[in-house]
Amino acid sequence: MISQSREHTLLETIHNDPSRRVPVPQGPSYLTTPGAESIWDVVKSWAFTLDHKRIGVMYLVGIMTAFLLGGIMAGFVRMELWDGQPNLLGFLANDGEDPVTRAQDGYNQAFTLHGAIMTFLFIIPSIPGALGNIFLPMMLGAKDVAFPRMNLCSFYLWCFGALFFVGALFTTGLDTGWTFYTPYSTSTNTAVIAATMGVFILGFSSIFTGLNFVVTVNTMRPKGMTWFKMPLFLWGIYSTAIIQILATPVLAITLLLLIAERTLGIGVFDPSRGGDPVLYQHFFWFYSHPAVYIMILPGMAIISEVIPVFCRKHIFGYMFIAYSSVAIALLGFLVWGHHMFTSTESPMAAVIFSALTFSVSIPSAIKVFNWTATMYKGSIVLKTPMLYALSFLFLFTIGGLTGLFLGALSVDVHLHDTYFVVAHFHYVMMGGTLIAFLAGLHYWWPKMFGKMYNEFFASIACLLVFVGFNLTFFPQFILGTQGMPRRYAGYEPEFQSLHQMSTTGFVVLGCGLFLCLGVLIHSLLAGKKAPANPWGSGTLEWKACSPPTHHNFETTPWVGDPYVYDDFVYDPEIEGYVEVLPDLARGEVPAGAESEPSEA
Amino acid sequence: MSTATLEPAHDAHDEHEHHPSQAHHFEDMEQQFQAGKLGMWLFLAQEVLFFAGLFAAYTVYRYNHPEVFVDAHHHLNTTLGAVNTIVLLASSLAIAWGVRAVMRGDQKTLIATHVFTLGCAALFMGVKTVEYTHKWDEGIYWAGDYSHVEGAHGGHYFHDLLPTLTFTSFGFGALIAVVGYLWIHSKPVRGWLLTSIGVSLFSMGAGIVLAKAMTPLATEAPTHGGGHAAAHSQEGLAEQGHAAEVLDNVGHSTGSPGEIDPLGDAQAAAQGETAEHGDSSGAGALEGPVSDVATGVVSPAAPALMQGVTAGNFFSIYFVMTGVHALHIIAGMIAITWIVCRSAAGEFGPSYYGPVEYVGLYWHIVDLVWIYLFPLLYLIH
Repeated sequence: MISQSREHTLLETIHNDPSRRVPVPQGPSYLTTPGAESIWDVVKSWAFTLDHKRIGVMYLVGIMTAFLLGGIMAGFVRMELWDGQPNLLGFLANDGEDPVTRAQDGYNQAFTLHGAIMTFLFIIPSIPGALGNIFLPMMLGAKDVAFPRMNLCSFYLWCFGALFFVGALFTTGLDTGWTFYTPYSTSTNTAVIAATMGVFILGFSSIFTGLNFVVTVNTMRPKGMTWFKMPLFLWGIYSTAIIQILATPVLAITLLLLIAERTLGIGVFDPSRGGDPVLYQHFFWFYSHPAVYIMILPGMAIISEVIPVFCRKHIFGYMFIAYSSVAIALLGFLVWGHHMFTSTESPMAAVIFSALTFSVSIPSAIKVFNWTATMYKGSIVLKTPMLYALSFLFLFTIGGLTGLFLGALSVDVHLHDTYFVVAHFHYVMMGGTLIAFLAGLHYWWPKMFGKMYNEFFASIACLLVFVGFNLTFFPQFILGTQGMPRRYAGYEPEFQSLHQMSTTGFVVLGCGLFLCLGVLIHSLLAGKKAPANPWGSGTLEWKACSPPTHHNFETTPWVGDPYVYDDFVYDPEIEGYVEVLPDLARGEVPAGAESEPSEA
Repeated sequence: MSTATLEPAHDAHDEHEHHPSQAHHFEDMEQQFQAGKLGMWLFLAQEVLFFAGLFAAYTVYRYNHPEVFVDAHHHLNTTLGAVNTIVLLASSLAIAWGVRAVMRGDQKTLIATHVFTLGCAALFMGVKTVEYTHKWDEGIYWAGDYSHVEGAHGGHYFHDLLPTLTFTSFGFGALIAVVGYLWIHSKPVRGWLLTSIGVSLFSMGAGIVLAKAMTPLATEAPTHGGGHAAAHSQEGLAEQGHAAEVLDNVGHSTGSPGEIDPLGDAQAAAQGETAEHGDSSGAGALEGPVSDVATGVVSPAAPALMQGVTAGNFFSIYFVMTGVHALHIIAGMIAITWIVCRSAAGEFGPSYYGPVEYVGLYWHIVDLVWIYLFPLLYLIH
């Protein structure tokens, strides 16, 4: 926190002595293509770019498209569930005469594609691929990631994998659920091979991104940035990258076996040939449970950045937050069996998995407590990123606590495959990751595109998203405990009012998201030019201009404690924060230079 | 600042000379080398986990059906497996030697060791080709297509192609290698590229010939395998109390090919696996004459859960594991050829040899996977 009087002194200092302002290097934006003579030159310079920021922007466009596609599928699902009579989605079905059967078939395809697209094309690549790509090297004061060509390759693999999904969408569809459980996935006549090939390719995209990030953080940290002076965003992304490298190949080989099973009949998962379908579930969740942390850890990483900046206060418990990311990454590998309590898993294994599952809640709770403690006595600024961060805290806490119900063996047997599960993972994945992604998007938007968005409408959008989200998913907890099973197109009349609440919530949520999109697009067209540091943040990416140049920095910036805000002062002239150079001649010490962070 | 350049390749403000191979975003060659090396190690970690899935599947199936694995592996030729192991070990030695050579700036040894490694890799693939064709000709496929019948041999479809394949790869390989070798002095990169391809083709042919020379003719193969089967099965299975199977195995394996005739009825029955299976499970525990695992069906005494388990279960795993490994060998060969070309262009030396070391590391992991596959698949007791 920064006291009023000190702020006043700093403001006077920079007005009296402009040389005390830390200079912000200027240069042509990375978004422009100097020397381009035609639109073709511009397209080429983007398509073959090795600039991590441009690749990040292309990822951003890609994942937003995927999100729209997955959202449309979610809309189909919610509309079908309005009245409990399967009658809407017949147009998605492949065959069948009876309209009800066709609608049920269409419903299966809608929820499968919703889940698969949202998981593999949106959530997993969203924060690392888009925001991580742009800001991980910048937070290190580096010019690029370690392997720029591999980075571009990773993006094109994502596109290629996405094409397989779109292919499935427009051919025979996909109705296995996003988990591709055998033996159904080896017997259905929908596009399982295309979709699993797609996931296989997306897996390598994910591995390459992770590998790039680990190497970049390990070898390209600037002088003075020790492991424990890294911004927490890097800790989160680093832990994510470790999981991406270690878990994804197991999914890759599993899907390869599934494809071989379908094409050749190798029988590994086929009980009629001596195989074991439960083995598939073990393999699948060995990846897909850690993948849940691939989804949420980057979200937590963003929140760890946003909260201290908008509380103007040093992050509380830096070491705990850093280590808890690593702990989540490691513990995440030991709990996959909790997805299989009702399969033929042995009771002993189930008990052990249940106990281990509770252990993951410890590092998650540590994070939430530390974020809350950071806010305590901070001067909270309720800008849009902070509003999203607060929503995250609320929603993630609900999602996390309901996870305990499902991790408890005896309760899970009751709640298994009900809407309680649906509500739980939407609270974590959407209330957690998506909201954190939106927080990060609004936080870094001025840096990425050099434009400020309309704060008022962005806040309204955040409010709509928050209300819509809760209205959509909170009734589903009740539905689940009342026994409404998931993945059914029709239901008994007693569930109707709750389902209608949920569908209404979906509409509100959709409006919020479209408003958010509108605000951001409006800012690109007519937004005010962003200052270099609109929020007064201390991490290195804000020391570049907005938007950054192709090489980010001319010289590696000076590294201090990323969470000390004493030297930043809001300058109304540029509507942004200015960093004040310490007057070393008079013996002033830079604020981040002490070994202990200042708690003033 | 106005000094910012527009080309992404090099910085205008860089005052000191950079190594031509240094990328713009690294501060020095050391950082670039360390980044590449860490990247390669992480990629190898990823590879290990990729194969770990297969090893896990192997473990589960061997645990569930140990007798299938013990019996089915007799279709594999241990000699050929051992030859391939030695070939790969030699190639690993050569490529490590090559890395040492580039550190000392010894251009000649660098290229020679890598071409030798390519030769070993191709030899491995040649031997593997013979192994695969033998199995396919006998109907030894993965579980879904397993149609092997003991004593009866298939149409030799693939086997018939082997001579053509051998002569083609010998002929073309020698031709390309000679042309490439003559070119080396005037156009080193192109010359060494052709030489590499030629040597690979030629070695593949050599591998096929070597493998054929070391294997008995296809008609004798079962005797060879069966001889071992008797010994192993008695030790391994008697303990598990599968007396019926052991007896039956002995019956099969002590017989020379001519004496298999008495089992003709078993063969006839084995034509339709399912029908026969139904029969035998109905026939009672100990009298089923068709209980040899290798013929396709597990003991009739086996619990219901294991019905339908055939040697094909073993071969499903076998083909996936060795197939995925072979794909890695091919990828490695492409990478090594790339190294040979860049070496020929004189790009590597004591100050810059990262890619040589990374490809070497990759090749070692391919070798290492085989070191695990060989005993797990060929040397089961």
